[in-house]
Amino acid sequence: MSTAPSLEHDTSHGHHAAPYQGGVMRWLTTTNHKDIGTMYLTFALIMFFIGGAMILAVRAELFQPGLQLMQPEFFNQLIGVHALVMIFAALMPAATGFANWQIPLMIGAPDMALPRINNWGFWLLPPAATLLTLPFILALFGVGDGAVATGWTLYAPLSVQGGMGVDFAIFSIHILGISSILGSINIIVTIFNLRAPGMTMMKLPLFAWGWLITAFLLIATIPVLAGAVTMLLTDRHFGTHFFNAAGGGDPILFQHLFWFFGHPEVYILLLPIWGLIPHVLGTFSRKPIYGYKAQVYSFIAIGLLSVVVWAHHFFTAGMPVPALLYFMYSTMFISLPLAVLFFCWVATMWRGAMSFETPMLFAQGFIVLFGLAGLTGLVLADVAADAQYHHSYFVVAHFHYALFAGGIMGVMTGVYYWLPKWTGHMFSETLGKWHFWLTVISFNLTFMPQFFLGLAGMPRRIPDYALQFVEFNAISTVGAFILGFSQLIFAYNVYKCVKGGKKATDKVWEGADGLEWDLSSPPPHHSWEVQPVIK
Amino acid sequence: MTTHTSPHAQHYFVPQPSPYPFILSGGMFLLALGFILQMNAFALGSWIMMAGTAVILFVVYNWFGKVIGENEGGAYSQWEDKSFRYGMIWFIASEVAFFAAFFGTLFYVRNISVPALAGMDPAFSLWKEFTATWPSAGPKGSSFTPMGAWGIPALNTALLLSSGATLTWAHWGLLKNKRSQLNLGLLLTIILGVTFLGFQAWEYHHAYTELGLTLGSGVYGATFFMLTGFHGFHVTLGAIMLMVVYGRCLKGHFTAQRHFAFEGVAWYWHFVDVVWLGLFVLVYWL
Amino acid sequence: MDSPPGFTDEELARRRAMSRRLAWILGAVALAIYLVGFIYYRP
Ligand code: HEM
Ligand SMILES: [Cu+2]
Repeated sequence: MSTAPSLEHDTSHGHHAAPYQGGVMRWLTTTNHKDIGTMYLTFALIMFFIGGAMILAVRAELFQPGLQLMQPEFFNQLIGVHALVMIFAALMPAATGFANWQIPLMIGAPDMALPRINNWGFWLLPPAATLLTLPFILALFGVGDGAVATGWTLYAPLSVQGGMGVDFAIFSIHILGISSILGSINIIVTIFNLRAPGMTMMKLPLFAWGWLITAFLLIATIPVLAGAVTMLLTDRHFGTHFFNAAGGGDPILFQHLFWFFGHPEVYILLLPIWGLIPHVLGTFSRKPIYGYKAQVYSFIAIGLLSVVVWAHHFFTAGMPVPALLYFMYSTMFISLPLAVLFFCWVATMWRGAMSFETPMLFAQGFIVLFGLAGLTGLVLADVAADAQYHHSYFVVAHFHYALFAGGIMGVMTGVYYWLPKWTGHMFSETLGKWHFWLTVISFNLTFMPQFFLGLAGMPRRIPDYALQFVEFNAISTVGAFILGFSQLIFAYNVYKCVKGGKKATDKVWEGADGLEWDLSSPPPHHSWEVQPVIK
Repeated sequence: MTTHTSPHAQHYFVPQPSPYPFILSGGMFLLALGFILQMNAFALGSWIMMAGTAVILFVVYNWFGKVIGENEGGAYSQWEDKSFRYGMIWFIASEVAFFAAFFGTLFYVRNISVPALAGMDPAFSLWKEFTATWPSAGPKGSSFTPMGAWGIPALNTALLLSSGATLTWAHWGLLKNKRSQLNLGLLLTIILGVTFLGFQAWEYHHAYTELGLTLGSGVYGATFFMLTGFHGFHVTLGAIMLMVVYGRCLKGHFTAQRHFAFEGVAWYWHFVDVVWLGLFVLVYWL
Repeated sequence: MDSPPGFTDEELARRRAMSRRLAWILGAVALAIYLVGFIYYRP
């Protein structure tokens, strides 16, 4: 296998090898899955910091009761845009970046199946992110009244009455949705059509399986969100009454449509992570992945169940009792396949010769903290208990254990695991360990108190609070600032690793297993042009 | 994992770097931005929209032209062809989900929200005389005449169903290498499709000017126009794609073995056909 | 030179034994917390 660094790879031979375009044109026009993967990941990192800065402003406001730094309207804009940015512009693009880099390498494919569509999927993201955040800037010039201020859930009638920011959010969501659909189609086609000869579906790496189910979920649910926000748009500007009782419509209808997308969305965010964690655990336990088939079937089961449980997000909106019971039990039922995954993760480590490099630390931190997300989710799924916890900080803590510890820390696991393969350099283990411990400690410092705040009755999405909540909020804000600034270590470590560092071997990690480790580090610009044959 | 490199493997076509996706994204940004500004009464909006539309049309024309050129130049083998087919299938799947959102909404308003409004305790209801009838303009809508099923809509059903048949007939012609049958079948399909659109335009005009049925006519008007409107939009796209395929047929493109573009468009057309059947039964008839 | 210098056989065996011991300890702790939950009630 060629060990030439990617930039010197000879592209003059072969009728299809793409010549490099210099400078910025390379990135605008590229059809290469590695280039596109890099763009997705870089974009995700930038948006992660933008979304993070927004929420640090929010935490600063919540450091003390009363209004110090901002008006409630602006507070609402920040929390809504923070969530949309983190979900749609940080986590999802990061997962798609992984898919672009890794799926072709792992399944022995020459590239993604539809390379130009692939590039389009990426380049839709910057316009969408611009639409989302532009109203902030327009407001500075006296145009409009700022960004969407409804929270990421865009509930009617608030969103029907909201200002121009809602329109920007609607179109941003449309463009993000198109991007997701394009990415999903590409991934499905690549997995179905470009696998190396001999790689049957039951030999497919778990990471690819996780993404496959994700892609199906996106295709099934993103269009429903698109439909919902389209109805919102016509209610706002073209006189329809979908969400207005005066015309026979119903605001609760919006909640149904939104969460038909929204609940599967949380699995969309996590399935790629559940796919990559077993690879990491196996590598650093020097053991094969435990329960491959059980994990595949769990992915499928979770995918199917995730589209039939949506109403647990609005138990308190009022539903017939049989519906409440149905949504409660079906929600709780999802924890069974999820428990199977947890079991397999732990069993992969059981009696393994473990070593604790940064990716392994993150994977194990993920298991523990994401476990807390699942357990608190079970509490919320209980209709009677949820009547108290709904719309409180308990929910905020729950989904940050799921989305920060489960999602973002999962992404960091993947970055630390694969970065040496991508760049050809090792990152700094010392900085990696600092990053891990600071993240885990400050994460818990930030969000653990929010469980107690929620149990005590502090509502979410309110810029002021009663005096009894002072201590926990102060702790949470301090934690949040440590958490936010710790991520600069991560950015610096990644940057240094891209620029240089100790040479990585082809296999990178002693216990690594899979096709991608047969390639050089970094892999040639075009890899697996001749497909490997799997025995 | 044991791997060996197979000596005779074929090469998958990975296209050259292309500026079109990036430009297309820019065009879509302008279109969205212009639309937002236009809806919020900024004069600049419609100009930006037009610029965006022009960019999009420019790219669509050139990008498709490029792909057709590559195809005719023999760049694609069976392997790439399969990618296109899978891609088209999952694209149509996403369209199904999009229409499902609106059909779901129709189900919800007819079976849940309208009866719930009518069932409210009069002591607490704003709209005391409201009854759960369908079509409903809602508690506070102005009256209108609903669209009957057995006039134009029934005729339109016949038109679309026969267009599905003529398209399949054209496909048979292509498979048996009877080019005149192919061309005639396609032409008939296009004519039927365009006639359908003409009738629908007339129906909308009738609804707005004579029946008093508008987007604002409560949830009936909203679901009626959104469902039939998005369907009509898809028929328009399908008809344009059919015209392109027809033009390519006249130029002698496609063979009995290799004709993804024809089949992809045909799948799309049949999908639009099936959606119409749902519309006819659930929106017009029942 | 494809794979990094690995652990010796003794080191691997030591790590396996340790992970097994740690797992039993963690299991015991979890069980203990569970049992305490049965015995101890908040007033
Ligand atoms: C056993 C697994 C889980 C169960 C039973 C569960 C249950 C719930 C319930 C019942 C709620 C609604 C609480 C309320 O608003 O009153 C909720 C909220 C939420 N959950 Fe989970 N959950 C689970 C796992 C997850 C995972 C894996 C994620 C993300 C990856 C997640 C993300 C969220 C989010 C984002 C919200 C709040 C959304 C919002 O209102 O803005 N949950 N969960
Ligand atoms: Cu949920």
